Amino acid sequence: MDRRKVAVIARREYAAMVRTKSFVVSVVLMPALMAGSIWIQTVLAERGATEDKKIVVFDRSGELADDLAVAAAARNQAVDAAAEGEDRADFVVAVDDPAELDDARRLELSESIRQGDLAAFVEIGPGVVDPAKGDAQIAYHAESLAFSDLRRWFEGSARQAVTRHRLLAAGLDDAAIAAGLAPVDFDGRGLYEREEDGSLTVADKTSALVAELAPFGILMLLFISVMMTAQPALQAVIEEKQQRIAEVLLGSVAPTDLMLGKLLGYVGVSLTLVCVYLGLALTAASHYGYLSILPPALIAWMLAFVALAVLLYGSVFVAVGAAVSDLKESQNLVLPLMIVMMAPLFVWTQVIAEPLGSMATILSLIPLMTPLLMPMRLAVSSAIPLWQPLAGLVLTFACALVVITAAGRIFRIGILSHGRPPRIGELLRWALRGE
Amino acid sequence: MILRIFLPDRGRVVVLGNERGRAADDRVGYLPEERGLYRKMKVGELLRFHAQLKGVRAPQAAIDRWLERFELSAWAKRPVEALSKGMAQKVQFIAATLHDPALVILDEPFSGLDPVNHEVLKDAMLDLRRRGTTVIFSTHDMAAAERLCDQVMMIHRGRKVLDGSPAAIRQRYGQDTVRVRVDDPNLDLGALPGVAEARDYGNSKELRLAEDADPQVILRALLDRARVDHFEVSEPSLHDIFVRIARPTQEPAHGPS
Repeated sequence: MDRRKVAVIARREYAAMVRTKSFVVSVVLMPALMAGSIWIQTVLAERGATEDKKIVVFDRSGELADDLAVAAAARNQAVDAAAEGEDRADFVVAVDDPAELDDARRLELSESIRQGDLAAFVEIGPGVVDPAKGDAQIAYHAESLAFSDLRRWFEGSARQAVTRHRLLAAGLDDAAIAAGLAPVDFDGRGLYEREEDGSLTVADKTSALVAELAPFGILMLLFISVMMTAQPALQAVIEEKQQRIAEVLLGSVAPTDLMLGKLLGYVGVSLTLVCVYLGLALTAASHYGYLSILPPALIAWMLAFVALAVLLYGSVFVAVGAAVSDLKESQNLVLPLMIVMMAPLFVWTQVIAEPLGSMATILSLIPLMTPLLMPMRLAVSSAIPLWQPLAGLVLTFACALVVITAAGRIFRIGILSHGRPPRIGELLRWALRGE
Repeated sequence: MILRIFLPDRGRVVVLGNERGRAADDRVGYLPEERGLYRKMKVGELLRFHAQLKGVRAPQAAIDRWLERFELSAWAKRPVEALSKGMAQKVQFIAATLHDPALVILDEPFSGLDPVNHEVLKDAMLDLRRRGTTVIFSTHDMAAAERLCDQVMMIHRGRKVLDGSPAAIRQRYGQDTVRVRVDDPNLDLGALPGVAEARDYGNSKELRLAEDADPQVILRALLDRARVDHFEVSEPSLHDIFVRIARPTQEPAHGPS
């Protein structure tokens, strides 16, 4: 290996990638897009829809209809008050006679929901308050049950009405019931620490939302940082091959050195990306008082694992680029690779739910997943023993060495061969035997 | 193979006295036939990159000198993709020779060059030779090979068919060629006694003599038929020899290298 030449290649690859417009744009655009989508969602949620939503209720129990009408009025008033005079959607509860409800009427109501004249209709069973009186079910019919404010509101209100009537039947009065159902304040907090001056402090506030978002954010950050170099790396190698630049370069540098130089350049690019994003995240975190979710040790682990991930995945992408002769041919080979890369995205929720569980431990020690899962686990729990990230580091490094060696062989042969794309079998033979 | 990109199936490759490894690399320069330059890089940066790859620590002076010589100084800060084909060829040539190699391999260096650039490049190559650099180049242009080369090797259908200095090669084929210029363009020279083959170059014609034919007899026969402006007994040109070797098989031939 000629270190000087590897360094020259690495410097050029880094400069070539960092200086492209698409890189600058994506560095700026990614956080902007994320912030934008959050902002739009908040704005939309605040504004809400303005069309009134009508719901028809058939109450066979004969007890809930009035409560629901009262609840709707109270809800509408609260929303209007919060909106400060702006127009907001009212929920309108229309009570209908259950005696007239037959299949023809059900069809007719369904039809008018499809037309958009009606939001939903509800059949309340006769036994909802007292199961002895018969069917105790509430059937809510609507076109779509996803993300429906109305359904959530109705479910809560109906439950509350049922509870109230059951308690009334048990002999309580409304005042006692209201007191009994008053909500309890629940606040998730961090852990206590002893400061240097001996005083006890509780860790920065950690809300449940942030606790769940932060690890996912870290996972996505790592994934994106690797993806954003791997894909362009593939294209760059294909371009070099098509324009016969590779031929010239190989007149000056050994193929393995060329590949190593490229990989190191890409590691630099990925680390730059992570640093930019982490810098933004740290600024935001310190501004909002969540700095404790990004301790320095975690950042160090993240950088180490990103570097390894780029070596591991980047080498395969580069080898694929060398083996094929245009971008289209590469897609078949890249697809399985992408699935492997995305595997952590399929299991991350399990890992977060029980970061110390054996499943999380095992998954995060599989070299192909370690770079993404290990930092995420470290972000969730400080109880993870040090040997685990260290073992992950060593295993991933070993795996990267094997992969780079195999990829290097494919690269050496592929980079100068043109024409028909190699079959998987041929690639394997190149990788294993180097010929 | 000289650059150790490909390995020989059989035999040995000795480059500048070195048989193993890539040690000779930095003393070898290579210009491939197809332009292989990063299109987005600026000319100056690209040349610095190539020089550094060859281990030159401070290439700037040499880069400026070469750009000056090839009248490309104004282009140093422009991206490679803005260059014309001839300019790109010159840049590639600079990239191959910046590190003062002991051996330069040029694959079809003159392809796609206009006469002016052709001249500039030829002078640069002769300069390299004067400074003691061995220049190996491939070409289909026999006239250029004949004029420029100390040694010519011809490869036909994967086999070496000719090897030696142009003069020696021509000599081996003997004085069997006659160049003539006559005033009657339609005269069938091939029909003359003792002429094995006649080739028409427009203004002048070239005759290959049959074995043991006497040029004097042919001259006399010619004078009977037309006015002779020029009559020269000479060695065949490399071009001729090339055609003679390649033609019987009617296969596409590769140039000498």
